[in-house]
Amino acid sequence: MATPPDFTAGQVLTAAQMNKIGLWVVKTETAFSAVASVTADSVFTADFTNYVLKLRYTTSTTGSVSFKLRASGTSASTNYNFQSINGNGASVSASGSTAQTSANIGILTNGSFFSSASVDLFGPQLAEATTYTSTNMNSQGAYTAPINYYIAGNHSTATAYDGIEILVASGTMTGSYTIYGYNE
Amino acid sequence: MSTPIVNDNGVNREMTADEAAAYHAWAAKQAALIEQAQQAAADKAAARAAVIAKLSLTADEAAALLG
Repeated sequence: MATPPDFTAGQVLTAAQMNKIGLWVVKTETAFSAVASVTADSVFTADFTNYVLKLRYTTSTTGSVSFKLRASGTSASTNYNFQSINGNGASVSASGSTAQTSANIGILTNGSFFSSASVDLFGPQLAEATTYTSTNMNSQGAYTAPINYYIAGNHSTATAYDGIEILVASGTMTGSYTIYGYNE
Repeated sequence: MSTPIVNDNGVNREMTADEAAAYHAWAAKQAALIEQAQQAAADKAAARAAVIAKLSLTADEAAALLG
């Protein structure tokens, strides 16, 4: 038998092989259009400790994109802390924010220029602080000047969360997202 | 002000009054933070320009010295 992932046609997979699949979709790709926020509930469970959110989006104006963790349908709005570094042309800037009402994950696009964010979430469903990193490729109104935005942060409240809200600070956002659990 | 739309687990709907109030409060805070950051960046640029002017540097000289 071929060694996974080199599967062969008709091969019967064992539980042990299936249990080694690294990423498991916990929220199938969901499209959204011209909305101020997006919610995904019952996605963080005891099945996985860590997750990744893949977000493809545009924003209608100059509002940046953030997230809040949710428990039983209610978004948490305190205790977010993050540090960012931003590469724009030849300029690099950094900033830090503490005790915020949400966690920043991406910059604006200001029009129909797609941007993307890959957000790793560590332990959101544990009754401990959640940490995260976001790698954001950003198009602020043009594809000719992509911006590299990297954010690392945490939500310091020691609460178990089962969902997430993604928000844009002004105007609306359009795009799609998928959430995966990392198999251990 | 129109009621914001939320994509609630895949389904678009208008936010409830409580959700909309929370959203608008959050958005206002975000706008204030951006304004503060922009002002800080403008202040920093002005301070840099003042130093460059005091030293009588050209733009290329300033770039070579300060990056």
